[in-house]
Amino acid sequence: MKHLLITRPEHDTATFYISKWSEEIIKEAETKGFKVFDLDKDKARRKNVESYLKSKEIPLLIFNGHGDENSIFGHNDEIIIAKGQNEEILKGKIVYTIACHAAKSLGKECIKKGTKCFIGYKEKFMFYYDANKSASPLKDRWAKPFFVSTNKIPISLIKGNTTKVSKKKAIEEFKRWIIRLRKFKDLEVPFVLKTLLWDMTFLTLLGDENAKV
Amino acid sequence: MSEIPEEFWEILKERFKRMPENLRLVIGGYGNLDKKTILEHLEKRDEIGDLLARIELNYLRLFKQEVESL
Repeated sequence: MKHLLITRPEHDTATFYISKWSEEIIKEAETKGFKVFDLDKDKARRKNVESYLKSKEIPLLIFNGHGDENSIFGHNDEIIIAKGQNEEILKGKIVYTIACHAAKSLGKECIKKGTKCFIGYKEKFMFYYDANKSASPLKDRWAKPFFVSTNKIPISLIKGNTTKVSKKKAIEEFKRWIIRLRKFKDLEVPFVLKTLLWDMTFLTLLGDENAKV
Repeated sequence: MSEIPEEFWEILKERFKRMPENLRLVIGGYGNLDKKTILEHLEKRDEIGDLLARIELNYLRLFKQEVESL
């Protein structure tokens, strides 16, 4: 049985949305027979991540939450992975993270230290949401295009595709939403569309393009 | 972002004045921004204002590329 570890902090609106939209990744993984180590809410902590990675063989890691050029954060913005501190625990792994800027500096360092492949965003990952739907992120039509698109990466990896193909599928999904949204007249559309383009532009793959889970 | 012309900032502000009240922009590290807050950042031309300008410029750059490829 293949293993997958996912962190899902939930301490603000952004992490709540990301966490809820990650449920489809977990469902897909379980359908494909993966054992999922789901570190949600206050379980998304550094000591738990390090403990799992020391004791289990986990080829695919999904880090949700905030971040910066040098770190990926967990619950309440506790640093989970930090450049120069513990990136070697990702050696041999495929890593996907939505954390802002993570692919800029941390990702490069991870690859230098042996991470097989690192997929993330070189700039800030941004999304729009409808304040009237914030209690039900999965029903939010303006947040949906962002998460359906970026979720293509882990879902494609779970299906056995290479990292290169998985990134391509996400880009294609971003483009599909951009084309679809152009047909709508809602005032929200131009704002959502331009931000989708931004995220799509800065989606980055570092390391082995032919890696598979 | 001193190279951004004055007119561009004015256009950007006018565009965000049309942003629906229900919409919020999430920028990691900066929280959730409503229309009023966004307009304040554009007025100040601070770090978030610059970021919003870069989103618009990225859009214009890609739009130009698309047009040129026709």
